[in-house]
Amino acid sequence: METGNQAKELFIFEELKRGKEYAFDFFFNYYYPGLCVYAQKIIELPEPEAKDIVQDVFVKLWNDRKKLDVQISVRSYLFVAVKNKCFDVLRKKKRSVKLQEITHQHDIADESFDGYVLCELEIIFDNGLKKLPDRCREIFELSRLQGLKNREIAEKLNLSEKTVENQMTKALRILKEELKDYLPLLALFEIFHFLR
Amino acid sequence: MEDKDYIYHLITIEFNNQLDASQKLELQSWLDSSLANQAEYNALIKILNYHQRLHQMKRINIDRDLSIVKKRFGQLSRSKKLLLNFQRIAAILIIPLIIYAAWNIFDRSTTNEKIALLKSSETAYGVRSQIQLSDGTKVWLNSGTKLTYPDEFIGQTREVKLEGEAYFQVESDPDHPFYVDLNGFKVKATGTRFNISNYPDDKDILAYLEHGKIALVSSVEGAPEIQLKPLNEKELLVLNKALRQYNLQQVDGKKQTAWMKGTLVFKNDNTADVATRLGRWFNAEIVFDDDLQKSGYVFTATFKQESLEEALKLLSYSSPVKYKIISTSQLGDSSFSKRKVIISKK
Repeated sequence: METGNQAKELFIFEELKRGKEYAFDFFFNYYYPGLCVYAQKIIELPEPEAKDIVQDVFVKLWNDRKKLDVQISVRSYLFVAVKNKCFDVLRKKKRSVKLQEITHQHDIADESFDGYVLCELEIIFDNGLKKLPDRCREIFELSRLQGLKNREIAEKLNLSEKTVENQMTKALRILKEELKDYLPLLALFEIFHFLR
Repeated sequence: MEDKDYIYHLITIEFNNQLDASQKLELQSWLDSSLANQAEYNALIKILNYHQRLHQMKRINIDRDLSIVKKRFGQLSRSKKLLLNFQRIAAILIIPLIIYAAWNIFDRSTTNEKIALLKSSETAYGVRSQIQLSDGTKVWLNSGTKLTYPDEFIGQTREVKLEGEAYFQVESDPDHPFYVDLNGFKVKATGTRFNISNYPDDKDILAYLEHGKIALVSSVEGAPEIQLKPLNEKELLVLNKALRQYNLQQVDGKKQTAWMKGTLVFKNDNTADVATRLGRWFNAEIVFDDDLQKSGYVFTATFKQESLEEALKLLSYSSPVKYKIISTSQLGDSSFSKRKVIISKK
């Protein structure tokens, strides 16, 4: 990200090379969740496999720490390593994966996976979500996070489907209003569309 | 506002992939109507995506997974472990294998079994010859050809290596298939008569089957065999070495094997073809001038016992061409250069 961050990272990496576990903990805390979601969502692997891949990469980071020469950033080393491992797994699974398509779609330059961004986003989102009325937020999260269909939410909460629809619309409208100041920030960490 | 609400409603449904066709159209037309709409749409999608991803990231139990990873410090990765296991198994297997092989070699040497010596026959340019292999197979070698073969065939297959052109009359033995190695390709035959042309400087390999059954096998592993059908179709297989592609042509069989009887046959052949074959036949360098090469002129002629000069004279009578022979000159290493013939339009 910024050069300041990079310099800090390289310093911590030097500590890692000296065998300091706290340095390892730092990288793990910072990158592990993002890498897991990256492997899982981007390369469309189920969660346990994605975690195995990322954990292998971290074990290797520790075991080979003395041999590693990370000149640019630890971050790109980790993301590239995870990406390569994912491709290996995919290649073994189905021989005809259009690797190029995948590479183009999901560039590792996407920084929205980093721990730093995670914290920022969390605050922003929590603030946005707080502005939603309780019922409205409940419905929004059931839909977005548990992937329930409007009909299922209506049944679960004993509401009419129409009400659920209205609440969803309302949630989106409020969130958009609340987060509009942050949208340029979001745009900064350019994101791909899961939809396409 | 009512309208906007409806669009938001569509977007939330779209995200769960539940839009029907008419709703998709409605959303699309709203998007197409203005850039501002598209920007707003992108912003909404971003919010929805980030929210979902954030949730996924927060669900991950970092501390638990960190301790799992730390337990594996100093251990090898799963794939390396597998490889190591494989190596162990290989190591265990190799000992009996070595013993078996050693015993086999010892056994062979005591029973006086011979190890085949490789021989090779070469014909110079302008010379043709015939040899017989240890299994009774007869091979005619065209000029400028090298055939490498064992003095005695041992093992499951009979294998020879060919550079140049040869006609094979293979002694039938289905238990020991006969292979002709063509550097990258192989022809497999049992009891069969066929002609193969595999000159290193030609772009194609030619295989002509006169009788029996032969198959072209790629020596690149996993590549499919190409079966050649028996003779009565008079098929010639033309295989492009570089592209590894082949086609089958119906040809005049007599022309293909005429060289064996000391006859050189041209039948509607282009200048490039005539130059190569005439050159090999008489050990000379034949050059057609540019005009002739571009003219697309084809030649038909048969030569039997003629010398180069006689052949060229005949050619100049039957075709609108003239020729000039540049005689040999001594090279620096006291060898002589090939005769050079330049053929041009009359």
